[in-house]
Amino acid sequence: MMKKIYKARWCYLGILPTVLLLVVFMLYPAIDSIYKSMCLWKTKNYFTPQFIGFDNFIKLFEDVAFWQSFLVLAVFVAMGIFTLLAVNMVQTYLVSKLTGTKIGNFIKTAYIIPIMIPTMVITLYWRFFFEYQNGIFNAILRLVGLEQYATVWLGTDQTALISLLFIGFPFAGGFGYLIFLAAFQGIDHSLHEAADIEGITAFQKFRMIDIPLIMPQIKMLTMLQVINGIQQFNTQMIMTNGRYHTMVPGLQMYQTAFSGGNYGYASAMGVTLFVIILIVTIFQNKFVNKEV
Amino acid sequence: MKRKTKISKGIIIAIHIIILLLTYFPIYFMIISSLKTNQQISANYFLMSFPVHFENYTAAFFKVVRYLGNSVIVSGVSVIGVMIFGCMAAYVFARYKFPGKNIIYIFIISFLMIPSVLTLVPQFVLVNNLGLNNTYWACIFPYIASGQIMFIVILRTFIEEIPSDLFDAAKIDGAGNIRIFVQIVFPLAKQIIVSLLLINFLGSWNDFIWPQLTLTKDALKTVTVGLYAFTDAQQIQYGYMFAGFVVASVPLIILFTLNMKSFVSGITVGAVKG
Repeated sequence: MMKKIYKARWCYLGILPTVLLLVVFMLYPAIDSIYKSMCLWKTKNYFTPQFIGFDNFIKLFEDVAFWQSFLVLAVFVAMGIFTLLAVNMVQTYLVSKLTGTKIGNFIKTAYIIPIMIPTMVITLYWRFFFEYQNGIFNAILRLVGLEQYATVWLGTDQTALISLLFIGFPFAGGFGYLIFLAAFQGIDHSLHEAADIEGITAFQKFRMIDIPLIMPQIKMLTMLQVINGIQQFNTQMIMTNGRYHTMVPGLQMYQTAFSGGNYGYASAMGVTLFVIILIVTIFQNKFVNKEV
Repeated sequence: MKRKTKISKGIIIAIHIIILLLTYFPIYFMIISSLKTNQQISANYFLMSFPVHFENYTAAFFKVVRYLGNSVIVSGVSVIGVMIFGCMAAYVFARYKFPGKNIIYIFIISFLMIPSVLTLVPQFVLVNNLGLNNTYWACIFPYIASGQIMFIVILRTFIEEIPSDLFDAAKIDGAGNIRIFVQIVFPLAKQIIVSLLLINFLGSWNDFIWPQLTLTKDALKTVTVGLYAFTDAQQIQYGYMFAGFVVASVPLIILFTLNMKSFVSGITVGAVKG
């Protein structure tokens, strides 16, 4: 055994940097997070966290604001799945219908280009669009004579959440587009020809041939959408900072730690989110395995 | 039948044109507004207006270029790290048998399950304790650590599918592992490597929360954090702000345009296999 290990020393050396980086920058913080979630750990005892068992979790369980933020999160995640499947997938399908034509190639490329715009630029020009004075929505309302409906879109309880969901409209292109496109283009064309002979309508073709064949990609992208959706809070932080009913759990955690200085409690939030993501992943994996 | 398909093609094209116009509108708006003053924006909101104010770009360029430089360093070094460590590990896992191989591999891919929300707080404290705060390494190390996993998984599968005769032949010719990698694996896997690295680059380039926490000195800010601070100023000149947005978009546009073909075909292979 020792001889075998010695003989393979170059192999270990090859994976050493990878393992080292993972242990220091991911494993240690992950374990530390679980430990610190059971500590009283605030700015004033930053260097001397004090073990308190499950107190943080008990407090968190009774934290109405935290659980309410999950409702908002559910809205964002649902919107993410809706735009992925109802908009992005259908749009990509319509691109694949034009494959081979000149205009089809033009359209195909035109959807790829916006990927190159940095996310922060997109977020910030949308923030500008929602402005009261110079924003685009109020400009349109003024243009058509509906000025009385002009509002501070990101600054009222009624409009903030809807505005945030609208960011990225018309939701076409992006990473999902590239994956769906590859999947649609990989479908054997003769299946469609056979269906044509049978006299099946276009919608039936889409539902009965294309959808089942790209199921692996649909599942993968949906899963990624859900997992990323649970964690992401950039938009909420930049647009509203969680005010006006747009608070999500990730941002709550961020603020608890870095504005509130309550690191232990924030760690408990992080662990809770981790457990939720884990459950979602296991649930979806089971679902995937059953189907295939 | 022929006419029917022609009409439906026409409808599909019309739908695409509408979606594309809506998709490109913000980009159009950003560019025309970057050449205006505040008065011009409110007077002539949707159209180009004259005179054109190119000086917005000179001002914005000098403000943004330093942030861009920081981003290039952070994302560039991270991607190089992912490439070197990722290729090494993927090659070893694909080509060699050694004690503990499967356990170590499972250990590595299990980190795909660890979300950044779990590690955010302690990782920040760790980086702080290591004295890496306000150095580029505060971003680079975590980016390599998390970025390499997917890279290893996909590249390993790819290398395993290369016929072993090729490797044997090279070995008989006396080629070492590095030469085998450069001359056999790399040419075959080039597209997939390029697209994986581009996705990695895009991820670190667009990251906001982590550099916002760790790179607080203005001289070290990456472009996302810099732009965010840039728009926070009161009495803002919008033309200048939009010019900054355009300048900030240039590096990614260049990088992707140069590698578009590899990127798209790499994703295509990855999407169908993965």
